[in-house]
Amino acid sequence: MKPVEYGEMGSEEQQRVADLLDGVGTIDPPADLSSRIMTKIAEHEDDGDRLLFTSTVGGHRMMKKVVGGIAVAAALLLITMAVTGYPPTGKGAEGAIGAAKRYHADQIKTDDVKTQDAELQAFLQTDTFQKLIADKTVRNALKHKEVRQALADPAVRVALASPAVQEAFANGAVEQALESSAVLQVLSASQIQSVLASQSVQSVLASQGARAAFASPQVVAVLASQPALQSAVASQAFQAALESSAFQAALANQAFMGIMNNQALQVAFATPQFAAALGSSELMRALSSASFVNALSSSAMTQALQSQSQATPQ
Amino acid sequence: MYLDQDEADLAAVRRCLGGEQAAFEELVLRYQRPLFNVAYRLLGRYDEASDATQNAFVKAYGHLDTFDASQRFFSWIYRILRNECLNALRGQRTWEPLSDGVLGAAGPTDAIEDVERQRAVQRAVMSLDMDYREVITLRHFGGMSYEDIAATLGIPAKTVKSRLYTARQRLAQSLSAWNGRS
Repeated sequence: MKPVEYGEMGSEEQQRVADLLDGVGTIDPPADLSSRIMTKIAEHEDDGDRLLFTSTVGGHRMMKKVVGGIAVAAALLLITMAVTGYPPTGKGAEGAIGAAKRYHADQIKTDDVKTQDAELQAFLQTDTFQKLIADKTVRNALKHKEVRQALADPAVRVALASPAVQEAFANGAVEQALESSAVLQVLSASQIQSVLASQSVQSVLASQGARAAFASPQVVAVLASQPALQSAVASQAFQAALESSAFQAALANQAFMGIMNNQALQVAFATPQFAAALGSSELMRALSSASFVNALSSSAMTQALQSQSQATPQ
Repeated sequence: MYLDQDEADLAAVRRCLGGEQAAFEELVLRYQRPLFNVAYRLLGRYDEASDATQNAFVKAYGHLDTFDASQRFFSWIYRILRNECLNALRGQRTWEPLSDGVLGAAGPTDAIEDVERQRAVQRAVMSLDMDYREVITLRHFGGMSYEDIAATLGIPAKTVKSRLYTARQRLAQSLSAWNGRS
């Protein structure tokens, strides 16, 4: 008899098992599977998670992925922690950055989630939790005691059940965002955390316009570099302004983002006067106007604002 | 068999990266069936296999820029699918057998036996450790060659053969009641 070679059909028994397995055949996938996949992909495209092809050289792709919504996705991720103060807002940048980096710690074990809370036990049985637990980012997050403790808060559970938060968790961009020092710096600022915890801001973030506005890397960069601006953003006036579609349009305007990088203007924007002015509908309309934005970016206007802000005690 | 499409796959990926979203649909239509079947055999649940397959395609699309043209598209997306399946398995409590509806309409006696055989096979496959379940699945339900399995899993072909041999031996024991029946 021919010696049996590993994996070859050398023995009758091996052959019988192989025949049995092959005889089972394949199962039809759901008839609508391909259309569901393409619909899901189209939804991601609509949300701004786009692939931009830049060039092809010698058969190798050279492309850049422009990830829309990184900042918003990361913000939504941290809303759940910010709502209950995880990490504690008094801890400063160190706490949040540390917590985010610890996402790469050891695997969570079933026994790690210990609770006497019957409501939490019930939540752990819900579809929402099952969907979340299936996501790598969420599982990584759940490795941390702080996050697990946060789950004990009903407000966090409500946030987790929201489609916007779930979408953020499902977005691979979240992980990328949390590796960005600029995003971490912004999210770790206590002012920003309090903004994210605000119900009105959370509702605003659900709008497509606001998401697009805060997906801008320039906004993240400017917020990260300007503590004064973080205070401005935390103001009630700014949060009220955020609900204005005109202001959202202004934030999404590349030219406006350009002038936000102007240091003199950043200082001016952080003044109480500017924060107060944000409440005016006239300024909102003006900010969404291209000509006004162009005027702001002129050197004369910059100098004027600079001298004004220097004269204004902060 | 599925891996003969390398050139066509690469062309579709390039067109997709060039902004032609419809090109991705070609890949979906080409691979949804083998990927779904592999997912089903790894997970043992129809709905979860469907979700895992969908998630794998969506993630593949989102990360298409990281696809290395020197490897096969199927191998690449299989690894994404595998992670999805492992994630789903961690959330599973117990394995549920296929429903009659999933297994197809049954004629009288032969069909009932066919359903029972399919259940027995799935139960036996699910009882294998993941390393063995994976090679059995790719070989018998994904129709892949040893070399393709080796490339996909990143292990030597010799290891693939060894695992297949051991897996079949274990299956022979758990499927002894069905061995030899037509």
